[in-house]
Amino acid sequence: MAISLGFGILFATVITLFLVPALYLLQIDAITHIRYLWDLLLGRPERSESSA
Amino acid sequence: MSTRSEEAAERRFQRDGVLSALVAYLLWGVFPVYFKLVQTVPPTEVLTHRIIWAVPFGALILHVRRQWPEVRQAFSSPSTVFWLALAALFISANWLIYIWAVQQEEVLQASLGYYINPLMYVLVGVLFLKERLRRAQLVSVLLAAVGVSYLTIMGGQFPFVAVSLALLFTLYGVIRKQVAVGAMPGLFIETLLLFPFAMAWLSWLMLSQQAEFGDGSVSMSLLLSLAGPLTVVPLLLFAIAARRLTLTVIGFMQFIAPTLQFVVGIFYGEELTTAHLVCFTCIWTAVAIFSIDAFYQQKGRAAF
Repeated sequence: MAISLGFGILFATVITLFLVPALYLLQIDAITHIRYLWDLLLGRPERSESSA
Repeated sequence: MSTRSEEAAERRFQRDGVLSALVAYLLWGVFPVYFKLVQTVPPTEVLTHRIIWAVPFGALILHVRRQWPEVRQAFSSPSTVFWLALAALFISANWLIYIWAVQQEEVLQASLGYYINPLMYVLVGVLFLKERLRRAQLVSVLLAAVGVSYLTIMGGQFPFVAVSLALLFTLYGVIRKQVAVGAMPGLFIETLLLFPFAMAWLSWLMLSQQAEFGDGSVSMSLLLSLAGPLTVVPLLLFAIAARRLTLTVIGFMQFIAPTLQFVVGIFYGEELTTAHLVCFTCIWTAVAIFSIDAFYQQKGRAAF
């Protein structure tokens, strides 16, 4: 039992301390990029787009 | 510290412009592939779909970008609406010929047309706006004329498709330059003005069981409705690029589209005769002279 508890803690440590924060960072990055693209394509044009 | 971040912002601004222009011209360049996919549909019906589906899709984009005030402003001036209607006439004729050309295996001629286009623009400027040509411009226009005449005489065919495409697109461009309406609102108003006619035509086709839309397979109907987004999206990207880049940069990048069309034409196994090759070589040289001249002109004018 001690061994299974030990491995459980080891496994959970990696998940909570590394995987979860890393996933949060990925999410923030993805949102930033998607928002940037959205603003670029569909944001209100800052000045009139007179045709070239 | 702040100047560095401003510089970074400016670089990002420029980079986004180049990328937008690149994707826009890539899309325009491979556009013939789409018309090949709807090969079984007559060009007139494809044209009606381009117009009909561009209206709701354009409205959606205008709504998200909050550009309705620009549309309202354009509609408040009758002369603007008149010019946009005329522009709509020219661009729809251009679209129709383009679709027809692709389906008739004349992609190479369509490509030729868009290489000639900037030269035609210069020619129209001379004829109607009394502009004067610089020597390099004169040389490139003459060279293009030589290329077209060679194809006519030696190849035995006057490139009607190429010349009419270039002429119609140039007239469209000249008219659009006269009215101060943005690219997206402009396209929306043009397609909106054409909408009733396209709708009437398609209704008639559908009632007389001649339409491919609705009558054929579901996938074909979906493909046809894709014509709207395919018309709007490249122009949206172009509009984004146009206000970030100088005309010189845009001028260089515009040749991406006909170059890709040329590749697509070859890919579809269109015959490139010697007469074609001579004509294309003349046009390519003309385009090179024209662009280099424009580059140095720009450099001389702006010191930065």
